[in-house]
Amino acid sequence: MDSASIQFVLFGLTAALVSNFSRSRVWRSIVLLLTSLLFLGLLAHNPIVFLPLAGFLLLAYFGLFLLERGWSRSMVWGILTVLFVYVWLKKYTFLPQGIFLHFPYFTLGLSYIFFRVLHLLIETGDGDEKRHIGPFAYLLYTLNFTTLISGPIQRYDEFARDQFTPEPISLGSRVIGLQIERIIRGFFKVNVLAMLFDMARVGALEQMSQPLPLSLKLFAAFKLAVVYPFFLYANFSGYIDIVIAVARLMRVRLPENFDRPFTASSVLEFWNQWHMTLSNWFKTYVYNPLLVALMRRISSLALEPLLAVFCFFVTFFLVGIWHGRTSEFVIFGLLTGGGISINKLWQLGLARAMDRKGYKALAKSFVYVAFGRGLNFIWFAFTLFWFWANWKQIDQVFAALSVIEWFGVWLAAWLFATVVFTLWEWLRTALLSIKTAEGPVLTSRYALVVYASALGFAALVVTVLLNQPAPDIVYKAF
Amino acid sequence: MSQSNVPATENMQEAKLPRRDWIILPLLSLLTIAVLLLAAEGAARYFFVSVRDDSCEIDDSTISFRFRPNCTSHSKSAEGPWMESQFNDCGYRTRESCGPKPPNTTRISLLGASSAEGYLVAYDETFAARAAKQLTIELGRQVEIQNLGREQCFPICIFHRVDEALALKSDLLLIAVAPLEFDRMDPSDVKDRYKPMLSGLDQAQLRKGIDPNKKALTPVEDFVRHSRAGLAALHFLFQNPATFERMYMLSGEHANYLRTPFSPAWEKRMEAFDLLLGEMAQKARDANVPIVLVEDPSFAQVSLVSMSNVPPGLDPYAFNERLREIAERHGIQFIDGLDAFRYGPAANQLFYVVDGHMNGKGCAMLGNAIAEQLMKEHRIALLGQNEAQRRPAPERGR
Repeated sequence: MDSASIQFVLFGLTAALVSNFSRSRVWRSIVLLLTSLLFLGLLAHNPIVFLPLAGFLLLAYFGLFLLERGWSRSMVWGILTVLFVYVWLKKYTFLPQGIFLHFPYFTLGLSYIFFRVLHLLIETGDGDEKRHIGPFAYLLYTLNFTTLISGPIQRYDEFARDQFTPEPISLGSRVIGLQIERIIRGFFKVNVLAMLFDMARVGALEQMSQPLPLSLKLFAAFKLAVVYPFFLYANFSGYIDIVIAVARLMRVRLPENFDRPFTASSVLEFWNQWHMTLSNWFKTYVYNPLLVALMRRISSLALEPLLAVFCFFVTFFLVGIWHGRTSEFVIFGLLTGGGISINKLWQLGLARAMDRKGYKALAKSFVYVAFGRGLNFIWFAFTLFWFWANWKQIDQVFAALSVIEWFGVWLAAWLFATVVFTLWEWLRTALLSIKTAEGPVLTSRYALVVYASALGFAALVVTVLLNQPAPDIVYKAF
Repeated sequence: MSQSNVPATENMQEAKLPRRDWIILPLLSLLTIAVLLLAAEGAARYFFVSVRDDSCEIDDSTISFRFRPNCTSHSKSAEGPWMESQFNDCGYRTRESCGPKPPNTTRISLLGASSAEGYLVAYDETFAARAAKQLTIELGRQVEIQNLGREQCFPICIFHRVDEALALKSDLLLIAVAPLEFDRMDPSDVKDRYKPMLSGLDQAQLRKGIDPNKKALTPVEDFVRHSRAGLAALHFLFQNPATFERMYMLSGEHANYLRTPFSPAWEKRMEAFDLLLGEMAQKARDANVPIVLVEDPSFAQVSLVSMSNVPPGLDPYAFNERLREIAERHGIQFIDGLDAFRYGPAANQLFYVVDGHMNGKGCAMLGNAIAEQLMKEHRIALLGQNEAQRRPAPERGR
C-alpha cells in the first residue's frame, strides 16, 4: 500500500469511521492499535521481518521501564544503546558490513519510531514529571499508523492528551469537511504536482547528459536546480496533509510539519517552517542541551553568540546526516549546518555593523525579504543535490557545464525564485483581502468546496489516466 | 506552492453548518465538476480533432456502398494526423489505374475492410502500399496492389467482391480479415449470401455507423458516447496494454475470440467464414489465381502478445490458429499477421489505441511480413512461370 495512494486514503478513512463508532477512549485505542497492526501487516506479510523492529521497541521499552523505576543514571547508556541499535539496524555505511543482520527485515518508519522513543527516554529520564507509560499506550504511540511512515514527530503528551481523554475533541460537519478538503489537497499534491515535478526533473537530468546546444543545457540545468524543492514540498507536505487530516478524523491532532516554507527569507527562518517537527525535535534535544552545556563551560559573553552559531551548525549537520546512510548525506549535513550557521553569523555581523533598529528595519524591507526568499530557496535547492543524487550523478551534472555557466544558472534561479515568490505572495495577499463578514472569500467553505472538487477531480483523472503510481514519499526512506 | 497548512479556520470549525449549506455545498461540488467536464470536452475537441469526409462514398446495389472513381477526400482521426484518400478510376485506393495490366507488372488484388483500405493511414503507409513497394524491390519488377479494401466490408461483402477482384486479371488474390470484422458479421446472413446487401436508408445509416436495428440515442447518450474528452481519456488510459486488456475483456462477446474455447457465437462466425472462404477459393481456382488469406491483428491481440504474463483463459493466437485450419482446408496459404508483431515495439506505438486500427508503423510491420511471406510461397505466381524459370530464387535467411 503506497503511503499516499487511494488505498491508503481509503484505509485511513475506514479506520476513522470505525474509530468514531464510539467516543470511548478504550474503543478508539483498540481501533487505533488494530488498524496500526493491520497497516503493518499490509506492508509486509512475513512476520519474521518484523522481529528486529519488535526487538528495538522492546529494548527501548526496557530502558523506559528502568527510568520509570528511578534508574536515571541508566538514561545516557539507554540512549546510546538505542542510538547504536538504530544505526545498526539502518545499516549506516560507516559501520563494518560484517556486523549487520543478513536477512531482509522491516525498517520502514524506524527513524520516526527512533525519535519518539528517544523523546520518551529523555523526558522520562529527566524526571520533571512522573508518569507511567503502559505497554499498550507505548505501542499505540510508537506504531500509530498515521505517523509511522514519515511522521510528523508528535510528542507523547500531545498524543496522550487527545487519545486517552475521556472527552475526545469534537468532530462536527465543518471539521469533517475541512479534513476531507485537506486529504484531497494532499492527494493532489502527491499524485499530480509531485509527479509532474518529478517528470520535469528526470527529463532535465537526461538532457544534462546529452550533447545538446548550450542554451538547452543551461535551461535543463536551471530546471534541475529549481524543480526538486517544489517536488519535495509537494511530495512530503501532501502526505503530511493526508495523515494529519486522517488523524483529526480519529480525533487526534497531529502537529503541523510545514508552514509555507518558501516564504522564509532566511535559512534560519526556513527551518522553522520546513519539516518543523524534525527541526523542533533537534532544537529541543540537541541544540538547547548543547548550548546550555557549552555556556556552562565557556562563560564569556563575547563568545556566547558564536556558541549559538556552533550549536546551530552541529544541530543541522545532524539533521542533514539523519536523512541518509551514505557519504552524500554528510555533505548535505555540512551544507545544511554551514548554511544555517553562516546565516546566523550574517545576522550577528549586520546587527553589529548597523544598530539593532536599523538591522530590524532592513530585515523587514520589501527588497531584502524578496531577495532573501530567493536566496534561501536556491541555497536549499543547491544542498538538495546531495539529497537526491549519488556521487556519479552529481559529477555528471556539475561536469556538464563550466563554473561560470553554473554561476549563471544559479543567478537566474535566484532571480526567478525572487520574482515568483514575490508575485505569489502579492497574489495571495490580494486574494485574501477579498472578504465577507465571515472572513476571506478564498477560505470560505464555498470556495473550499469548489477548490477541493476541482483538485479531487483533476487528481482522480490524472491518477486513472496515467495508471501508474506517483513517486514514492521521499521521506519514507529515511 | 507554498499554501499554508495551518488551519486558519480552526475557530470557525465548531459552529454549526447552516441547513441551506447541506444543499448548496454538494450542488457547488457537482457544478464545479460539470464545469471541469465541459472545459475538458472543449479542450479535447480542440486537441483531438476528428473529421470524417464521406464525399467519395456512393451507393452500390450489391455491396451497400463503394468509393467514387477518381475521387479524393481528406479526413482526420482524433488520434492521428490529417490524411488524404485518393481513389483510382475504379474507386480503389491505389495510385495505379485498374485498367489493363501494364506489361512486366505483377498485379495483386486486395480484398478486405478498413484495415486493408488503410483507414486513418496515409497512402504510402498502408500495408498494401508497403508490401507493393517491398515486392517491387525484391522481385525487380513493378508490383501493384489494386486495393479493393473498403471500410465495413466484412466477410460477406468480401465474398460479394471476389468476382470484381478476379476480373482485374490479377496474379494473386489477397484477402485480409481482422477479428473485429468477424464480430460485426451476422452468420445468419450467410444463407442470403447471393442476395445484395443492405440498401436505401440502411446503407446511409450503415455508412454513418448507425445500426438500424437499435433505438435512437437520446442527446445525453449521444453526447456521452461521442465525447471527445472520453476519447482523450481512453487514449491515455490505453497506452498501458494491461489496462486496455482489462477493459477490453469486460466488453463480453466482442472479446470472445481471445477466449478458448470459442463461444457458440464465435464458433458460428468461424463456420460461416469457412463456408464463404471455400466458395471464394473455388472461384479463384476456376480463374487459376492463387489466393492468400492474411490476418491483420487487433490491438487486443498485439497487446496480449507483448505482455509477459498472459491472463489465464486468454489466447491471442486462437483466432489465427482457427483461420489457419480453415485456410489449409481449402488449400489456401495463410499469413499470420500477428507473428510480425511478436518481437516488435509496444502495441500502443503500432495502433490508434482507442480507434483500434493500425497506424503507419503497424501497417509497415504487416506490409513487410506480407511481402516476405508472398516471396517465400508465391514467387513463381508473382513473377510468372517464364520469368521465374529465368531467375533463380535468391537464398533467404530467416
